[in-house]
Amino acid sequence: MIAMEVLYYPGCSLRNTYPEFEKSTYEICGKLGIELVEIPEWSCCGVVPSLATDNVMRHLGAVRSLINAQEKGREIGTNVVTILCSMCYNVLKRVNLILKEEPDMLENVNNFIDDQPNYVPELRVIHFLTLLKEIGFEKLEEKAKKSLENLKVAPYYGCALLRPNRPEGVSIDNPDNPVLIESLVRSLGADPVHFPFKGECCGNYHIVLEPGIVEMRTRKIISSAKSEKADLILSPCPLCTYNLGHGNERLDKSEQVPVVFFTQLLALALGAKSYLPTEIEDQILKKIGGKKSD
Amino acid sequence: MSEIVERVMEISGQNLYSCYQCGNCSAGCMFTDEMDILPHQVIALAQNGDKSVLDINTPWICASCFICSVRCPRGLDVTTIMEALREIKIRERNFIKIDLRKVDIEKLPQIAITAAAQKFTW
Repeated sequence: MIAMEVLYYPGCSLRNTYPEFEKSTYEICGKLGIELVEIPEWSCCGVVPSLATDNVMRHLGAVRSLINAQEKGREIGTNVVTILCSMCYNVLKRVNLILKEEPDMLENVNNFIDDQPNYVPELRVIHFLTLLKEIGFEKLEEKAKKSLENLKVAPYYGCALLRPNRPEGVSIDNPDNPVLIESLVRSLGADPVHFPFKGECCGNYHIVLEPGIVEMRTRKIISSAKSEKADLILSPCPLCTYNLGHGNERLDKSEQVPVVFFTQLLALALGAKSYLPTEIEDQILKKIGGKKSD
Repeated sequence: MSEIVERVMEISGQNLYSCYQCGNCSAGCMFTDEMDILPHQVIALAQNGDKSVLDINTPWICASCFICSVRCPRGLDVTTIMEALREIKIRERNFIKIDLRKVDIEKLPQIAITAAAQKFTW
């Protein structure tokens, strides 16, 4: 067991849209000895931060959560915050980096927030995938109960884990050709397919006003995975998952590729509860059949 | 300097004149099928201070995916320039892009509605 405590920012989508993303993660952490310490009184990150240089207001939700994380971190002795939702990760990571790089902005924000302690930008915000990478994928291999051999997966990154490149440090891997999720699934025995659309945009918030754009985008992404005979698309993002699901619904059954959170597949491999729909879990088990170690 | 150039540069913090019209942003953009004009053409209009740049759909089709910004050889954050063009409209009195009262909150996830509200309202 690793036995470590990490600050944890859940975000709204994990609580009201896709609880399976969070529940499967708690299962993984239980197996690996990671204790997720939820940040008290966290609030919505804002999903997409304002890019306007003169609009600091929209960063405040994120800053308030970072302050709560800072205080909790001082209590338990850690400065590492981990996040699952790639949109939340993107916002909190960027706001944290901006506050580190721009002392004027930091001062401004600290002056404005007068009901909380000042923020000292010393937190390290990392995505859960980065946390797993730092622990070492070989640890996952050691703990795995089921080999995912014969399973072909299309690892989808979307935008928020990879871009923008300024402030520097947002991308969890090479933004043009990320391989982090590939390494993760390989350590579990699965076969990541060639997936040139892995870093392309699903259409983002256009699902609200221009769903046709999302359909156009997701058809291309799903077709790319299908042409490589992927059994699954692995997603790190609640919004991408929703949009890809929207795309799948508009394709013939034979053209669809199921979309699951990467944590669900990982939980399954670790012999924990995956919170996958029964039909999809059965398909996976059938595919890796005969390779089950338990 | 024209008013439009000044406002775009102020809101985005980007130097419009560093663009030399190579078209890399347009080549990589995944949404050009839906756009009135291409991203590098938007920059050209803005550089010229042409106010019609505020009435084309391109900045509204941009999904803030940042592919253009990552690939720009001049280091220009094109995504943020698109945001500045949206912001100029959004900050106008009586401009309404989205009526949040009419959004189907039963069907759409919170993450999508919040993102749209952030991008399309002030």
